[in-house]
Amino acid sequence: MKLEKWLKKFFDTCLRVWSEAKNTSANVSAKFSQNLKNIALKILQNTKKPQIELLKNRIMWFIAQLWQNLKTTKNVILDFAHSKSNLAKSKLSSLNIDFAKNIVDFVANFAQLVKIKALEITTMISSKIGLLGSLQKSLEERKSTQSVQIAKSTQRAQNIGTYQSRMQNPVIRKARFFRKFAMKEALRCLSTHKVLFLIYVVLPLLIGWFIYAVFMASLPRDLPIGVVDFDRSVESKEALFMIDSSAAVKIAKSYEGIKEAKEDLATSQIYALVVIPSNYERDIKQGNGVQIVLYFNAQFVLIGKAISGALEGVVGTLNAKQWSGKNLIKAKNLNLAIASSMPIFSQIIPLYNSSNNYSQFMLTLLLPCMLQILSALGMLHLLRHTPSSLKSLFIRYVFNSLVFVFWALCEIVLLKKLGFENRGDLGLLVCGSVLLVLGVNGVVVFIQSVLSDFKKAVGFVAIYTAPSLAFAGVTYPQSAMNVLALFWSKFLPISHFMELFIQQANYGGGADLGFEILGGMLWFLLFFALGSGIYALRNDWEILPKNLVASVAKKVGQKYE
Amino acid sequence: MNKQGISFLQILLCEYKAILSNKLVVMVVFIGSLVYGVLYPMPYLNDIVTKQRLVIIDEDKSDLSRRLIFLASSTPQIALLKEVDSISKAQSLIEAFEADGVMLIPKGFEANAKKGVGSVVSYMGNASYFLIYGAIVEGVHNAINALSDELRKEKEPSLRSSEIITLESIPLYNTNLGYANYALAAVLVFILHQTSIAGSGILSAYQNRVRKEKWQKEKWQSKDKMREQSGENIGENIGGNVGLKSSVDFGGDYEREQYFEVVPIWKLIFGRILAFVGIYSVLFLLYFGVLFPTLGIHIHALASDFWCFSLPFMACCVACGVALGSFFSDESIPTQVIFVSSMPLVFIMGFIWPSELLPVFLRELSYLIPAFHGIRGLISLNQMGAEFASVMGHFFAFFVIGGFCFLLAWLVLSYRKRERV
Repeated sequence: MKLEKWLKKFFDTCLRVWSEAKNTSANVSAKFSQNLKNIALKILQNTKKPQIELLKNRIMWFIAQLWQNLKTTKNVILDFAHSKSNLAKSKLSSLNIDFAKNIVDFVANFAQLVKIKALEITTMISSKIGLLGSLQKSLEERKSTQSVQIAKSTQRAQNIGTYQSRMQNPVIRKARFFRKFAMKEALRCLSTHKVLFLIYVVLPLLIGWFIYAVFMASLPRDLPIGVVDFDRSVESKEALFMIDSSAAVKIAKSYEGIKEAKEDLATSQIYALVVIPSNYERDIKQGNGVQIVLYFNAQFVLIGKAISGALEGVVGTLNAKQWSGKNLIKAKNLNLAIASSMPIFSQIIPLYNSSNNYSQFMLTLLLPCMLQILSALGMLHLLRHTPSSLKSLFIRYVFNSLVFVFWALCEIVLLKKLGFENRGDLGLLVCGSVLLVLGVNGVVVFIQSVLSDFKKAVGFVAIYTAPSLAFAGVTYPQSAMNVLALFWSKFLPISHFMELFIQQANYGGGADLGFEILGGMLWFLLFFALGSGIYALRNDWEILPKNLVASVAKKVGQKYE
Repeated sequence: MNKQGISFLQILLCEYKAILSNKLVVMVVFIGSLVYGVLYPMPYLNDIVTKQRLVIIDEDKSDLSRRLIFLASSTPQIALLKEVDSISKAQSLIEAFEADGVMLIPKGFEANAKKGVGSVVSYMGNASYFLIYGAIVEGVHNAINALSDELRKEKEPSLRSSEIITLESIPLYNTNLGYANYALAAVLVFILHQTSIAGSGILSAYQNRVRKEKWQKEKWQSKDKMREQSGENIGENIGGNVGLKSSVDFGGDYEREQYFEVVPIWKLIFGRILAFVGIYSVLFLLYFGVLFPTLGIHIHALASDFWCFSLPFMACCVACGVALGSFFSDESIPTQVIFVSSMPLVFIMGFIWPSELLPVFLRELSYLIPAFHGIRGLISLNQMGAEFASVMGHFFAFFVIGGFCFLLAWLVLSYRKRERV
């Protein structure tokens, strides 16, 4: 039932996001295209038409003016010639008249020529003007088709709107959704990209749940221990009862002697052995002081520490009980005795993980570690077939990173919901997760670009990311590592991320240090640049996409034609 | 190759040839084991966490407080960083990753101690890092105990023991509570387990792929022949579904008959297990003979006990790998399965986090994994000096798991062989 509900919810949210995205994208694209068309039309209407008219008018005016001038000059010359000829008739020889006549003819011829030329020019200009007119006409035609298109697109947008409004109806929506999207698409996706589906959806959930389940207990408790009671008295039974009732341990078995317990200790049937000596009760009563011996298995460090800590607590309370018992017997000496027994009390305060919660400690480390492993694997699968261009590589890189940034966000929310320390700036943590995922994917791109063999790359990526838990610097501090290990640790994005996570989530530290750590993670992006460079060299990619170059060249060619 | 006359020794030789000629198997089994074996212990070479930086807030400034500071600084776990005058300053030092812990000595510390009222010393460790926290707590605790003893003796020299009941804690097996014996002893065994499963899985998956592709090729060839005979239009069909693939040249691998197709499957699996056990015996020698002593990890087991336990362990791992690989015909899948499963599985092996605290289904799951028994048994034998009789449960588990995997692999492989017909 829960799964069903969860699935329904999941699909609902998916649908909502999908429809919203569609809606907004349709709106935006419609608006954008409308705006673009409006602007184009405005330019055509407001600038081109008057300009053409103006040009036409001006040219006509210029020609008329020219013609007028030519006419006047002709008249002037003719007048001049006539007066000259008259003068010549009267005064100058016939030669002069011939000359004058020649000049007049020449001028007349010239004028004729000019006239013809001018006419040619005017016809040419008028033809040009006609061309411009036809151009204008075509533009207007285009405008009208555009308006039709706009109408169509608005119609489409309206259709989408009605579709969406229909989709608002939950019954129709679900029916449509399950028929159209969930069933078909999901099945198709599943059958074609089984492995990716596994890596992107199933494994993050499965492994997250698995790790959570492992550390569900949070604190070590009820660890089986054995006891050897040589005294078998009331006091010793009480002591054993006290031990059994402490949270961390549970008495699983009691032995006759120490030797009998040896094999059980060696096979981890019991993690510790408590030995109560003989004459325990007598020595307590006499105030001689007794010693309870605890043999604990230090092989499992965590378990050993938990048991010895618990036993110390039990013995402390046993002591206090004995002292309060003694109080009745020798009251006057009590203060002195207690003070001399415990002159200094110590108060231990664990910072940033107040209950020493093991699940907080491990989950905050393990979840990012698994995240980067899965992200690397997903990236590798996307690169299984060599991308065809830089753009394709980039899209794969970004897509894979987005998927795992989503899981990183889920992880941060989960850690917060589990009630672990989370004081710092969420934005910085998100930035850190983004850089972690981008960094790991970048390294994977680099490895795959160098090897260009999926099967080998899996091995190398495994060597790179799988031991990151040991190098992350949380289980074993970086300050205690040697130089080589420290170098390898700095070479893993996860160690920087864990530093950031602890600095932000646990300490609630300043943003300046946070940004400093983030800056250290930026270096890993260089691997992506390097990897894509190697890819480009190997496959002779052009830096600019080919179709873009081609289309630009085509346009330019058209212009010059 | 003769179908009848192929002896077991020949199968074994063929197996070794197949292992060594497959680059991926060589990479995982040899390079993987060696690189992990060197890489993984690297952070833990210093074993015990020492010299954690402690900040002191001394509000008392008395002789006794100075004495305590001296005692704290003389413990191996602690290195004094500096003295500050307020808790907020100490906090900012910790949050800048410059200090690891704080010790606060309150005002009137000496006076109260001398008066016999008892005074309180607070110390805080950074519990974000458990090992750092543990080291600081241990160091300061030891210093305070030492000072208490001094005070007691000063006050009442006749007092034999101030407490009626004392607890003597004796750590066994890993007496300094170091990290090498704790984590590495188990993790190194786990690495061998993972690489052996991956290696044998890859080889099995590779052979599945070779077989499958060969059959497909034969199928296409026979189809083509049939079409030629019946005079169909071949070009159309080739263009449709098989054209592209049948044009691929498979190279020499597909031409001759492979040994794994002619020998009986049970013999093949036995041969593979034996071949890998041979290789892993060498790797076990390398790990337990060279790596363990250099890292300071104890080996208490008798050589006979050790080999008696290790050989079935290896065989069981290889059987698991063959069963895993038999399901796939893509040799990259076993590597990926091992790669992704490693980290979650480490935590149900019971050495980092006790098995008793796991949810029941995870505990039962861990019993099904050879590594659980291998790690438990080898730690018992090597680190804790158990007798062989006490790890018999794990010993028999290998035979159960290995036998099951063997049968499973047999079933799957024979099914795959029959698929062809």
